[in-house]
Amino acid sequence: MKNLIILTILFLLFNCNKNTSKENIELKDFLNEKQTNEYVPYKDDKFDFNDKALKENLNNAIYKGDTLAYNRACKQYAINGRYKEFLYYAIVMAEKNNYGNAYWDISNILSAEEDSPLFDKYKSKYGNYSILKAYELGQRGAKSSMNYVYTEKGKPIPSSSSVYCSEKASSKNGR
Amino acid sequence: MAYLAEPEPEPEYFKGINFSQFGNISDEEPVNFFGKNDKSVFHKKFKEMHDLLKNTKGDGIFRVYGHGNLNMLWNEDERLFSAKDFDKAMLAKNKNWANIDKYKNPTLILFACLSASDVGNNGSMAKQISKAHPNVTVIGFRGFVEYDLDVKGIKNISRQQGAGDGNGLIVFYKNGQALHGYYYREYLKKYTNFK
Repeated sequence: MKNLIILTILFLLFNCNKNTSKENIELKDFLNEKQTNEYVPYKDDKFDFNDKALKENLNNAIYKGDTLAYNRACKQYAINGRYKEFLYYAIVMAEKNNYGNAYWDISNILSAEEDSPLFDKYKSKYGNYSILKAYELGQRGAKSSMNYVYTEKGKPIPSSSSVYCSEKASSKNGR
Repeated sequence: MAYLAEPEPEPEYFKGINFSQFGNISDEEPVNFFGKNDKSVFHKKFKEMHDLLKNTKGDGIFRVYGHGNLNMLWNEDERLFSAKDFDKAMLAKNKNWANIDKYKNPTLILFACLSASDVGNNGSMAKQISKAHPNVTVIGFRGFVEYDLDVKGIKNISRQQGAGDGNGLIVFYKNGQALHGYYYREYLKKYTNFK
């Protein structure tokens, strides 16, 4: 019995140490990464549009419909302050591969920030279409957004096609 | 600090126990949302903050370090678009987040770019999380959080990315509403212990 207790304690200790050392190794890997020529976001205005990994991710996203690659590329643009320049890829990804996150990005990029002179004066029609399209594709951010704008206020969620169709109808009526 | 949870004394029976051996399960210790593809500067800053704040069990202040963007956060390479997404990611990294609504004066600080930039429909992640957890004061940043290894802690929030202008804001949310916003540089002068 005594031996069993000692063995159990040793087993638990071994397991705890095993987990901790694994975490330490992972953290150490990051900390040992060379700093030489490392781009530090926000401290300068450098962004390598021709970065090999970035190009590969964009190609895989657009041509193969690889959503993981798309999200990695999007992150690289966004955290380096180049989110607006990502619009081209978001549009192509959305339209070619019918991808919800890309439609959400289009809408997000075209939204004006609160402190922008465009806020309250400009709402992008394509941005509006894109958020509704993202919602229709089941994109999580769009779901939460549409819930806030429409469902919680007891309003029905319009279809994406209504954004341009209603404009067409009203311009016809005006003639 | 007026807007942060007051630390409660450590119960006698926990004294002398090193909870860190059990991983991220027993307190509010800082959470790392950076991923393996992120540069070492971010992991180094996280380690600095983790070492500084890992033994603050019971203070009710959760801190998250990661990348953010308009209306979203990144958890490694995964995108978090809503409070629901955030809860799921947070629970996987700190099981104590499950008790967040039971804390007295709990606080969440999102050290991520644009975490308090309200754009579009339902607003920033700080706003969305505070709406989902009405009891929690959620603190975010309107601007770009500078992870600078040349200074201790996080001292600079820029309004324009890459400008180093120091004009970014710290914003406090409760129940889906922005209650206060200050220039972060001014806030640090007044609350020198803010970490």
